[in-house]
Amino acid sequence: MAGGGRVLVVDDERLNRTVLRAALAKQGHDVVEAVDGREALDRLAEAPIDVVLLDIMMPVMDGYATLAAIKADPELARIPVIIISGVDDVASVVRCIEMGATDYLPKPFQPAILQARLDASLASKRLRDLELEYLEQVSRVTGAAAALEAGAADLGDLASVAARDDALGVLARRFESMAREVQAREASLRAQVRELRIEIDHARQARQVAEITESDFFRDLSGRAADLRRIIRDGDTD
Amino acid sequence: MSDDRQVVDPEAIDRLLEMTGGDPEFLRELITTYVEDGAAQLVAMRAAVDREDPEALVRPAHSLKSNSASMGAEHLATLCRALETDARAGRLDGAAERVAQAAAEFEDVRVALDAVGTD
Repeated sequence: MAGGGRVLVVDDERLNRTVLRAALAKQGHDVVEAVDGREALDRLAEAPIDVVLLDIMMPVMDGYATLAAIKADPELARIPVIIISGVDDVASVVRCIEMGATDYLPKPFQPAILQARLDASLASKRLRDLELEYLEQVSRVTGAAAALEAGAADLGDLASVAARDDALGVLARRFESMAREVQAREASLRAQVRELRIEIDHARQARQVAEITESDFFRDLSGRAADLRRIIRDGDTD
Repeated sequence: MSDDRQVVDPEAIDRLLEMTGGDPEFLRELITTYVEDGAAQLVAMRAAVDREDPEALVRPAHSLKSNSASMGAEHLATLCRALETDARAGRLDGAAERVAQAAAEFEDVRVALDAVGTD
């Protein structure tokens, strides 16, 4: 068994729902029920579902319309859909598989077939989920590299990628370490540039002061100021 | 029951028990569900035939066929399958009589399932 999943059973027949609920619970799955396609889409919008078991002939919204809606929704399209069908209804099964259904489950239900088909669909869904997670994490590392190149301070959260125990995890850890070094070096360079600017400003101010104090005008002004101080001190106005 | 054939296949009942955890109480619930829903499906089938509405006959005949097959009531499932197929094609030839046959067979199935449930 591939481990328990969350299974949505869509069937207007309560006998089928009751049998499937008990059989799936016995196999370790969580079961969510819907009595028609409309209710199934509501359940799918509420919480993540790993596999859908879908009857074809239902009131309100039948299996074909439900399958089409699931496959048209990018958020739902990758959920495996197993068609519940009578053994005499080959044409409907073919049509559903052409529409994107993963497999079919013949009625009356056989425990071994139910388990095998569900396990295969769950394994395939989990593999696809892992692939998507991998691609998303690769994109996080490449995004961080682009941010680093653009000089951004925030490189995003790479902790979950770095925690992986595969090659991508090694790459993320190495990148984080290099990024820290690059950012530390840049911070140090910025500090040095700031200090140089301050020194340059001090030298410029000293030069400007010297240009003023060494002028004839300043010397004349200084002489007059000395005379004034002397007059004030001695009271001599001559 | 008018002959010696099995009205309910005991292997189907064993399979249901195996699938659902082997709880006789649960099997009893399944039988009750089947009988309640089957009675309602027969009412709908009779009404559809009385109204000469083949489209309205399709769903209850389909449901009773599917549920009867699940409970191992093969003959009843076969009767309903023929009614469903004809109704899908818009045919109601002899439908009233065949629905009456299905109702009589359903009664035999109910009695047989009662016996299973009290074994």
